[in-house]
Amino acid sequence: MANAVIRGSLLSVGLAGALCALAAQAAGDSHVVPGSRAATLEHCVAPTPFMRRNHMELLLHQRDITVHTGVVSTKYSIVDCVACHVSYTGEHKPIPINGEGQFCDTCHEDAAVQMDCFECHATVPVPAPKNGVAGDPHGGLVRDAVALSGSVLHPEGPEEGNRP
Amino acid sequence: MKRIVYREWSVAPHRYWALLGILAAVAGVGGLAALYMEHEGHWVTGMTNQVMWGVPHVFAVFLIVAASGALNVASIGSVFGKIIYKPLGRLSGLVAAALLVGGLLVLVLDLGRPERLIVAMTTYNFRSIFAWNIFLYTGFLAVVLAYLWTMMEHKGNPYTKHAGFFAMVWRLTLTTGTGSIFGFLVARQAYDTAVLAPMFIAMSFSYGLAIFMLVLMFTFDQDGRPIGQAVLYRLKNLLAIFIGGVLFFVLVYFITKLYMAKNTGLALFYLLDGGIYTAVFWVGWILAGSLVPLGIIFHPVRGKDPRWIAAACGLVILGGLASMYVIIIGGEAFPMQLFPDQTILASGFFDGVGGAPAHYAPSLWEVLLGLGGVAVAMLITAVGLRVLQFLPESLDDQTVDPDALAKA
Amino acid sequence: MKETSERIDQQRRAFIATAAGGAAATVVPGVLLYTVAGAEPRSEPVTSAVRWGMLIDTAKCADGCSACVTACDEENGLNLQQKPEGESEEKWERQKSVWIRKVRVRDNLSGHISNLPLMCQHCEHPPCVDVCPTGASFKRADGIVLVDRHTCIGCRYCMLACPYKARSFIHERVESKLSRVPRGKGCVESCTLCVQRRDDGEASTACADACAREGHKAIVFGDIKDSESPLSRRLASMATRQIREDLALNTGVRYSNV
Repeated sequence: MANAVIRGSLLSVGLAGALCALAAQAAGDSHVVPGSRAATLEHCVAPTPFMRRNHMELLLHQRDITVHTGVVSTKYSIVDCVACHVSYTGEHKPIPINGEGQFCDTCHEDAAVQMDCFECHATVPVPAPKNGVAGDPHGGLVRDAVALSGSVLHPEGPEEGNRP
Repeated sequence: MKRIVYREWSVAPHRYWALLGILAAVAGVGGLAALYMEHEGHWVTGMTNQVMWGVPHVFAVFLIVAASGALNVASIGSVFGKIIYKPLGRLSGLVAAALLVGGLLVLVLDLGRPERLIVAMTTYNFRSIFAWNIFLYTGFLAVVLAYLWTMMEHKGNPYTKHAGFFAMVWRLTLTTGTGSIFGFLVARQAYDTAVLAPMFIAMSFSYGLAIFMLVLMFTFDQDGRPIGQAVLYRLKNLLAIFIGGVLFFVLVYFITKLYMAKNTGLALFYLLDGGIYTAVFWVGWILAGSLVPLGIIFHPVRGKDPRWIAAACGLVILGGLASMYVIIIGGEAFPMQLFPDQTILASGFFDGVGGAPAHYAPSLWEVLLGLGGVAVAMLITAVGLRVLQFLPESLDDQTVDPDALAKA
Repeated sequence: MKETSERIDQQRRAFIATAAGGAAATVVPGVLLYTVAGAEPRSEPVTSAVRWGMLIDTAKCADGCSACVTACDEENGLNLQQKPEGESEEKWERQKSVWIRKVRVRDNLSGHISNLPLMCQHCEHPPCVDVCPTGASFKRADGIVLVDRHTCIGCRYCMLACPYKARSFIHERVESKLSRVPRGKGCVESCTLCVQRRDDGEASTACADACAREGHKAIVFGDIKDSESPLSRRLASMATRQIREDLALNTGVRYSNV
């Protein structure tokens, strides 16, 4: 009798815990950092679960194409990933994307996967100067601004007429 | 020849562990130095954008070249059938493999991105002699292991001659490849020459044999095993021939370079006005590394004394390191002749303004890494000797060559 | 049996429809991004129909001017390089990356002095590409010689092999870099003929633009294979040569008056 009670309670606690974990998974599960452009968007360039699992494959494939054939106009560009997912301070200064608590860190810290992309790649959008005039690091990339301002993805947040 | 008995190296345990401890400590410090260089970046070393291969490469290339030459003794026994060398074959294989591992380790740990070793081992550009060398180095280990197996396993004995021949061809290809790493480069006047390949082969014979002899004499001496005159004098005379071979190639190299107007500057840089490179060349390579050992070996009294012979071997090794320093670093330091018959007055990238060579000062980290590689090679040798039967019990005259005593 | 399979079929149809709709919804924003961004950033692979090159007229190169160097530094983020703490200035000068440099030479016989910028010559038969063990150093279809920094293991063999000493090794951690020009510790790099500009539809390199802005116009950039391009016309109109022409590398960068 006592055994049955103990086993029963253990089982219910276990099930409850599992349900809670699943609920937590489903509910506050976004790793997108508030203040980034990505926070205002429905999903990434592909559905979120797909991106979570396969973003590395996309990047590995795309980087060879970009370096060897020069194709830079692609939705899998790491430059655009950074531009979209980087968040900003109150004074609209970009925070390095691989910083603690920032976008990459929120998953990579838990997954214990070290990434070395940002040993070489810029952690905030940094345009090159044009004609001897220094570029504005706060302004984001020229291409990025043109692309996103003209698309249906409204920077202020999803509105009725602005969804695809 | 009597039947040769091989036995594990049996020095007293406390001495053995002390030796291992020292070697492990040096290897460990070398590893820490490599870790520091990798973590901080190469700015902590003395290497720059003008002298990009420094002391680690001096050690690495030396160890790799010596590794190939250390196998020579086994080849002479297996392939050329000289009976007096046969007992030395197993040790020769062990030392060759150990030296190669040490050299490779130093090379790999000096990479700008050593964590990309997997990339280096899976992505090959087969136009690159460097890529071929990676293949030749790792293959050499496999070949030596197979060769050792044929020597040490009774069932493998019939195949020793074939394995020995294959190993000999492989290591000659390897050393040709190592020399060609430099010889194929048109960019630098010190390198751009086909004679570097055979020069490296001659150097491998010389340095490999010197290291082999030191290891042999040390291990036998520590374990109370006798080395007879027949073997010792044979080896020392062979070393003299190899030293002579290297000197020949050096002579040909310089005579040819001096003859051509465009290369006279380079030849005189090495021979006369290259500062440290001239000093290391004459004193380190030629004098201490070649002429003095030759003098010792052919001396009527000193040449018969094992201690002097060991000293000669040590000097050859130092001369070997000096030769690598002169060839590799000297070749980088000599200003590149971008505008023949014009003088560079100013440059934003150290293009040899006024004919000045590039500056290079080795850092402690580089030296520690190089020594760490040597220690790893010796560690592998020490462990191998203790665990398996590499060393013959005796190399005295009666065991090795009964006829010698009769003739004497 | 038949009823069951019909129900299953309908469910399957509904599923496929939703999946197709979802896929379309996923693709549409990307399509719109392509459209609005315009044709400027390259979306088709480069081909060998084009070969980029330069002509440097050393007679027009001004003594003491380094506008091309400054422009290259700014364009490629080299001006963001920082000396590591604890390193001497002198050593830093020898270790920091330089993609283009000014050289002043004097003829031993006549005493005539020439000034010229020197950078990667983008050879047709690059020794650096031959010697790279992993193939990281490669020549793109349009003639630009590049380092694939994803594959470079930092062995510096290409630096040894370059007849123009054009390459630099990054000796330190790079804290600041541009988005269009990634660069990091442990790899080798050199002049890319402003490949980020090539792939973004811009006409010229930073150095050529800067030299034109200064009024010297010593550097002309263009397509060697296009016989009507300004570069080709200039090349055809005067005697030009390669530096170290005896090596027969067929460089993309040519010089005149030196």
